[in-house]
Amino acid sequence: MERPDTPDVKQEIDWIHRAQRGEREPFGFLVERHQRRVFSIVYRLVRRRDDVEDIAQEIFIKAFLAIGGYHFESSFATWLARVAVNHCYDYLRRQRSSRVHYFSEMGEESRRRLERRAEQQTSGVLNPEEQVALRDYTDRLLERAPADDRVILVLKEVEELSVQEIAEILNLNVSTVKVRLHRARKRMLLDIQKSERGK
Amino acid sequence: MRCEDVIAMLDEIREDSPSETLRQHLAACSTCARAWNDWRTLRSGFRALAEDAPPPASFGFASRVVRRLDDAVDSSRAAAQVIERVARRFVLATLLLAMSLVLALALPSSGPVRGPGRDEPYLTQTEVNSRAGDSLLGDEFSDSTAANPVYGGNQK
Repeated sequence: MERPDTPDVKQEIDWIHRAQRGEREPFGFLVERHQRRVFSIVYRLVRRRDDVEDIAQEIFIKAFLAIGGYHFESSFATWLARVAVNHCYDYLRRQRSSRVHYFSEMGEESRRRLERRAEQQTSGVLNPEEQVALRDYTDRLLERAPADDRVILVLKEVEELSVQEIAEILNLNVSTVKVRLHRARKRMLLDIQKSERGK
Repeated sequence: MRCEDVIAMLDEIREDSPSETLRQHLAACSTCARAWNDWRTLRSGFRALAEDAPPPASFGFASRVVRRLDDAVDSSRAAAQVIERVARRFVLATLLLAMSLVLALALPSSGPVRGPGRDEPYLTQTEVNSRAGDSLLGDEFSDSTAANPVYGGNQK
């Protein structure tokens, strides 16, 4: 596949126009340029390393079929991120029924240990094993969360996107994103506390 | 400071050490202290997740996507054709139904299709009563003239 030397915005617009006319090759260039971000979104949201590539492929195919509906109102990266997030959102909702709830498996002592580790992490003394334990703990909490909460929290806290960027991707107002973020955080904290009381 | 304010503040707090006002509240309120600790744990966890790099695309990923586009376009086109066919049949059936309804309403109530109708299909109650009265009187009168020998044959 021929690869341009200096791909810039103008070049990208040309690829998009050609892809909109049904040309496959320029779409391949777009895939190459944006695959890293799509892989990142998919991995952060789905958290299944083995499934990431298949899901990313489905997202790019969906994007090709829908590219005629892209009218340059937002950047192509944002538009593509929207396609990716929507696809992952559907995937999460499909998977939700078959998902295992891990939190009940975590004892109070291990939770306290993780909290102490989290505190240590702020002073930079967390070793790799502890880092993995803390990551898994948060991962499990996210897995328990409703798909809406998970998507918005991951985009904000893990992908570290701005509220404005999230609003563009999710096609929402900035104020709506703020409210949803607040509710998602609150629900997650309540969920932790409920789980503790349930023990 | 109220407990709701603490939860609201968590959205904005980026640093790990609480402000003096918050510290005072956390010292007095165990629920908020708990929420604060949980939130710190979560934030550290989110950071740990962010540091976990996604898997890289395998070699030739873009080319594989491009190769799959033909199949995807074909199946999408086939699906669109099926939908179009179903939609066309639906529209045709709706048109036929509408035409039948229009015909049913537009056809006169009598005629070769519907058979002979009454001359005056719509009568007022008064007309109905008066006709009924006429008929009864007429029948009675005609019967009596035909059958009664006194008024019938004797007068002639």
